[in-house]
Amino acid sequence: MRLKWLEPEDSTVHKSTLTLLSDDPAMQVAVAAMLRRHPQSFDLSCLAPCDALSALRDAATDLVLIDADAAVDVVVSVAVAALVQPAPVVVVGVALGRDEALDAACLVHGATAVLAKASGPGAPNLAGAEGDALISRLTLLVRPANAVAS
Amino acid sequence: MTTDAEALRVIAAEAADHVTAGEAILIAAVHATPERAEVDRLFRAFHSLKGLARAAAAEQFEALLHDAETWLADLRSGRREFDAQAGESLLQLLDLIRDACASGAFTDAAAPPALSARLRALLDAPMTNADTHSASLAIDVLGIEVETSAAFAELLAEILPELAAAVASGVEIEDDVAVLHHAAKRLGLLGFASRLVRLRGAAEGERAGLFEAVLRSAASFGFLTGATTGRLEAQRRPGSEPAQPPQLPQETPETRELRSLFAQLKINEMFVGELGGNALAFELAADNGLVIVEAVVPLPDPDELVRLVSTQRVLAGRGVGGARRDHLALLLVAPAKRLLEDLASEIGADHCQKLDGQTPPRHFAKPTEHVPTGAAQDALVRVPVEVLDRLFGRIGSFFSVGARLGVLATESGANEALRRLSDFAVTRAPEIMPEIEALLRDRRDFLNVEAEVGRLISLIHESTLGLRVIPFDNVVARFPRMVREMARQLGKSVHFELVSGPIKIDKGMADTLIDPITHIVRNALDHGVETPAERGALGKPASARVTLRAEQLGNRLVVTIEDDGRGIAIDKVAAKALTQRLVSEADIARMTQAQIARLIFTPGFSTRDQASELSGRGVGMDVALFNVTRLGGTIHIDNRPGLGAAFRLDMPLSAAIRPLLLVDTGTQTIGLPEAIVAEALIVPGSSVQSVNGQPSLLLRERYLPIFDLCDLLALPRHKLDNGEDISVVVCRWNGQRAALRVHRILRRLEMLIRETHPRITSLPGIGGVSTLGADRIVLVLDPDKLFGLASQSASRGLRSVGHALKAADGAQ
Repeated sequence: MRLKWLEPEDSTVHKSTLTLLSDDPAMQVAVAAMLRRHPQSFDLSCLAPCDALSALRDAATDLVLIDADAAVDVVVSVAVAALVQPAPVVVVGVALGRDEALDAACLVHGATAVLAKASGPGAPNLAGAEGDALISRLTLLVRPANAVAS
Repeated sequence: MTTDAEALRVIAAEAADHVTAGEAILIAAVHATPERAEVDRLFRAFHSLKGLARAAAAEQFEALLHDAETWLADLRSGRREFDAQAGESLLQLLDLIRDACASGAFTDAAAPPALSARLRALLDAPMTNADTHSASLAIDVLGIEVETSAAFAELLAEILPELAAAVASGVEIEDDVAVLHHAAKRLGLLGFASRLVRLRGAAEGERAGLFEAVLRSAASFGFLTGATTGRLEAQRRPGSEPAQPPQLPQETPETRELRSLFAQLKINEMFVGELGGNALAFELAADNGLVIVEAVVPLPDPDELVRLVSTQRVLAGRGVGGARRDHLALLLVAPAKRLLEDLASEIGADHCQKLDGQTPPRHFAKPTEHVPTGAAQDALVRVPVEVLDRLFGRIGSFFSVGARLGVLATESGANEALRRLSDFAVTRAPEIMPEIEALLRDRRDFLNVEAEVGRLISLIHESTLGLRVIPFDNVVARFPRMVREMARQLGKSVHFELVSGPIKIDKGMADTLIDPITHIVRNALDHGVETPAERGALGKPASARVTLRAEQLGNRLVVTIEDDGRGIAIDKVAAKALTQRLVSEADIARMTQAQIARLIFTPGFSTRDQASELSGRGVGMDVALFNVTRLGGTIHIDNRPGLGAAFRLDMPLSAAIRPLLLVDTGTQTIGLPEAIVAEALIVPGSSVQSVNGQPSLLLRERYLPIFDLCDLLALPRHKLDNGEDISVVVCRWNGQRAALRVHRILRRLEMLIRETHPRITSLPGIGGVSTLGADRIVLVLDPDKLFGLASQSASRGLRSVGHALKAADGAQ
């Protein structure tokens, strides 16, 4: 499947903003590397979880990506983000996908999706194939109308 | 929650980092109101500590830290101003946490009621920068005033059940949704508001699903604020079903195999992530020709990470490196045949280890067992220093025995005697050959045993060396607080700067060194530093600067305490020394200013007429000198009247096990620290020629100054065999090179350098002693002293020995 909005010649495409809630430098680098490989997908903005409330209230973002491994209380972070931000809230973490209670709590409190990291808390493979898969899912959440199969 | 001992140790170590970060900001805040960025860092430090307290189930700390964090949040938002009282309370909380971490009681420590009350009082105090109305209102976790939150919750409780009924029956919902949307938007709950907008515009068939999203938002609001929102009542109505969690992936034979592999390699599966989504993991499970390597690299930038992932097969990664997390630990999959060194070099790894199931990975380890919190402390054993001292004494003796065994193995004439005996018996007495062969076998066995003992000694060395050494940072961590307290008592303003690298010193040395540093710092504050008014009159900044700097120079520790105060008043010192009859007027007349300044080290000396609480009793500086001298060190004073004074404490890092190259001068065994040995060689005597009057060694077509070690150390000189081969050790130190002529080069040996008596360290060129057996002393050279002696000894024909040595070095 090819996504129409990923075509570089499509002048109607404008970049969205992805706000990452993580104070883990390794995760920040991994997400930045992922976006380097998909330069037309998102601009990156990073927030420390402890700054999340005030910063998210003011942030003009198209997607909030919460790093469950960096959050002090991931469920609180999800609940706050989902209440103050109209943008979809996606949670990624190593325990997600294997901790049923945590997955359910995140979804109940407003997460649009919970996704497992497949290469550890620092998720270095986001700079490769793991990142390609994640980008596809995130862009579908942000611009489903543009994701037209050709 | 992981409560094993290792996890608690990690939490304590992380907490210590945050405590240090917070403490530095709070102490600096004494002099200047913290900037916004510093307040942010302070807030994050307390926030992280709260998270760690929660992770460690340290409920009392969590409560205290929550209060502190709330106060700091007000400070951040500008509703409060920083003041000394608040800073003091926060520092006391950090002290408490530091002590709890150090004693291993982080989880169970009790919060002193007085501190809890002080923190509560801080929160209860009226906000300085808020208007009267807002100051009286508390803010909840969503940043909304509590009263407003409660009103919104009431609105939800009233409308949601009606809305649920309307959605279920398909009647008009516009008005109810519009009311909630307006309220949510006013409160800044734009996520909540957006869900209401979608509900309002939805077709009838989609409403139930969208209403469910609204109910979830209401549930989150109640969860965060503690308010009742009517969400449960609404959910009981038809058409609103709770969200279902996704199905967890099923266990497959491959994931089972991977779990088994990770368990075997002691890898914590939780650090790898979802096994089902990790294609490489499956490849690993299927291919026995692959191994897992743990590597640690400096945190790459995004482009570097893309390159790394495209060239290496990365299984997992995580940020490591303490609070800064400035490194990336990786689990890599590599062919079993791949050389570890090549891999480390290719990716620039600081650490690289093939996981073999024996040694657990450093950063992806699987906890060995799950132990309850109370029992976790049993895994840590606190050992009195005296017990360690006795252990080290015995290890030292064992080293000496090992060293003597080594000398017997390499230096005895037994090998040569046996060889000659064997040669003789072959032709003259073949009947005793079986006995000689038995002796030769015994000799070989002895040499094997000696080699094994040497290997064991190296292992013991590795595992015991770290037992008694502590970071120098721990030794001096107390001084910022001490200086702050003293300055306050004295009515002075002092900016204290602490500069120390990653130096580790022996615990006994640390204990001896604390008093000298304390006395000198106290003296600097009490006598050296002027009051702000005095400094103002002198045109100096009101705040004085006191610096404590520690450096490791080779095998020496140099601690400098410097201030920009008034310096030592030489006239006053001389007058007081005369009054106290410590010296005569004739003595004073003969003495240089530097010598007079050193009178402050005389027992009983003080320039103060009355002793203060802090200094001036005439005890202290003599103790400082005594202790530093006992460590084999010296104190140098650099006095700049009117501008300040600097005390330089220079001492050997004693009681350490160091690798040495042993050489024989013919009369004495000498140990050369391996760090200064560039090469050891035997050259023809004709290689030594005179260059401008300086004996020089022609080595690889270059001349290198050569010195006889006996001459440098003023030892009896061995008999010279001119014209024959000579033994030479080429030494390199601080960019200088020189050759040392010795009688014999013996061997490399790891030896325990004993705590050195001042008389030994006053010998030319010597920094310490060790022993080979009970009767053989080894003098260990001090590189600085050795090269100093070489400089003095160089011939006058050279303009400057330093230049000559450096020139020779450059030529090499």
